[in-house]
Amino acid sequence: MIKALLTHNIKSNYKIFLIFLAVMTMYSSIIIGMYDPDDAAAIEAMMDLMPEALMNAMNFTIISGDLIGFIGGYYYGFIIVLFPMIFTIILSFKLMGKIIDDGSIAFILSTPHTRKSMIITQISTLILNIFTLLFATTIIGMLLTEIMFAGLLDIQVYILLNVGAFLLFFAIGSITFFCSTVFNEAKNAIGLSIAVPVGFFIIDMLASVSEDIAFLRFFSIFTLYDNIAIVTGEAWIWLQFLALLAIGIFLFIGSTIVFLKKDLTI
Amino acid sequence: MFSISFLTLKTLCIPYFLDTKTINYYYKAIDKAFTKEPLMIEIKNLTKSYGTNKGVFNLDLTVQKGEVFGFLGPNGAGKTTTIRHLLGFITPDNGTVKIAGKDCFKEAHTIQKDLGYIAGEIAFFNHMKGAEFLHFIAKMRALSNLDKMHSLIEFLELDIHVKIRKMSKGMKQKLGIVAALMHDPKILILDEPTSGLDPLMQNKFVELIKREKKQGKTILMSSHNFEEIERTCDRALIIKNGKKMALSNIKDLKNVERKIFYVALQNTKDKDIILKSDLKIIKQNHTDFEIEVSGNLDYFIDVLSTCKIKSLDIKKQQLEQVFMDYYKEGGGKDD
Repeated sequence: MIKALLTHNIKSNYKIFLIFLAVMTMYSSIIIGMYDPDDAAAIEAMMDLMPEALMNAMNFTIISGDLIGFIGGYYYGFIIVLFPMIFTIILSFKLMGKIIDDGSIAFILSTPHTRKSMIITQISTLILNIFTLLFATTIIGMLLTEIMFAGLLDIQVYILLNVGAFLLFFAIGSITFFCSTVFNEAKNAIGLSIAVPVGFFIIDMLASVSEDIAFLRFFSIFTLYDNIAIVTGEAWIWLQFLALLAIGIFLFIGSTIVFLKKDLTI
Repeated sequence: MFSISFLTLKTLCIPYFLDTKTINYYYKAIDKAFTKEPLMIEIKNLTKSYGTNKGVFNLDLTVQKGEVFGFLGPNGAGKTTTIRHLLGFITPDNGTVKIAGKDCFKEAHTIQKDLGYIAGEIAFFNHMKGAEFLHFIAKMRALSNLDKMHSLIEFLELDIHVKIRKMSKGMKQKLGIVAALMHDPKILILDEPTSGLDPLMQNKFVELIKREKKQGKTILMSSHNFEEIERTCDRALIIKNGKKMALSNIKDLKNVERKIFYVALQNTKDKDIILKSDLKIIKQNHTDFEIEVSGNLDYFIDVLSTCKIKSLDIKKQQLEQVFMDYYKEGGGKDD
């Protein structure tokens, strides 16, 4: 790990980080604000006004009438998937794909550090950013529910939802990072690191729309983050968490191995 | 072997005849003559193929400690590919690339401690200011003494308080030079270091290189500007299509220089003598000729001695032209 590089990475990316944090905070405050502990039926009636297929595609489901069931369905069904995904794609491209493509990585590699410590620093930056983003939104969400609906939130399930989300983006981050590392050209790096997670995302949406194509969900990584199962307390979610962790570790190590041997035409 | 005979000489002979000061002077001279400067850069049989004529093929190159080595060749000749090997960015298909005896790929990080590098196409972190960038590089190198950085900035007249994105090509080049030299490295690898600099700055750069050379730095630089190579380098290598074309001392290169003579004849009748001779006539205007002579002048003088000459003048060709010939001739044979 190279401290100077880590500082540099954080300085170069804090603006995007803050933008995503602001957007996610906005959505979570709107969604939490929509909750009405006395009248779950009213919300359901409001949701009924929307086309059902759209609601399904966005995974907007009321899992249960309590607060955790509400935000677990709305916020953790869609917002938590979409925004960190975009953040992860942008960040992994900036950390590897871009500097390999434009050659500015030459400045890093012409200082007395090994490629290994360099890529470990980049991976750490990515994980640290994802972690901090989700940690901050978790804390903000807790504060918001505490202000609006004191004592109503099931903290344990809430934290599980966020741990799962972190593991999901640990895995997705490893995919986008791998794409960014393998290719020499930006168009391939960014192309594939957008195509893979967005492809998974679309598959996940399609699979939710109709029962006929529900089998498609087995081809999407988002299936490994089952917000409904977490809220209803299924035991198998731990297996899914483990799978996400394994994918992440495997691909981050894979990226490192590829990078150590890679020819850099810079 | 040398050291034994030298020691014998030292202990047995000289002390009886000369005073200590003189002896020491001779000792040093003998030492210098017999000590071979170690090889700083050593490329053996390097091959890296990107398809026919693209890449580098069976290239050998050595640069001794304290030597300034010029690396010349047309675009796409393989200069940058060779330099990428030296920096440890790519691995050879075949052959070895070493700096100070260390493998350039495996031990890149150790080599980098004493290496300064200017890339052919420098890409910076554009969102930073010049000063921010230099401090970042200094931190990456754990460099605490920034004296050389400041003196370089002053010498090159660089404004570092500008965002890199807004810098002109020349300014960026200067920034690259400062970043490469500020840690006072023992070895410099410079890929077209003066591209984008104005002629005044190119002169300053040559001055800078001479100064570094005086301090015993080993320098390998590629360039298209022959004058620059001529003024700074001890030896130069020309490559084309990834193959070695010529390796020479700069002095030798100057010797193969082509010369163009302006010859004006007194009489029109002598015209035919020139026209019928084997001399290479570039231009002719009545009795005025422009004649090109490469190498040996004897034949030229012989022919002229049979004519009446009004005036004879020499147009000195830029050495760059010589290189152009190398580039072209080599290409003809190869293609």
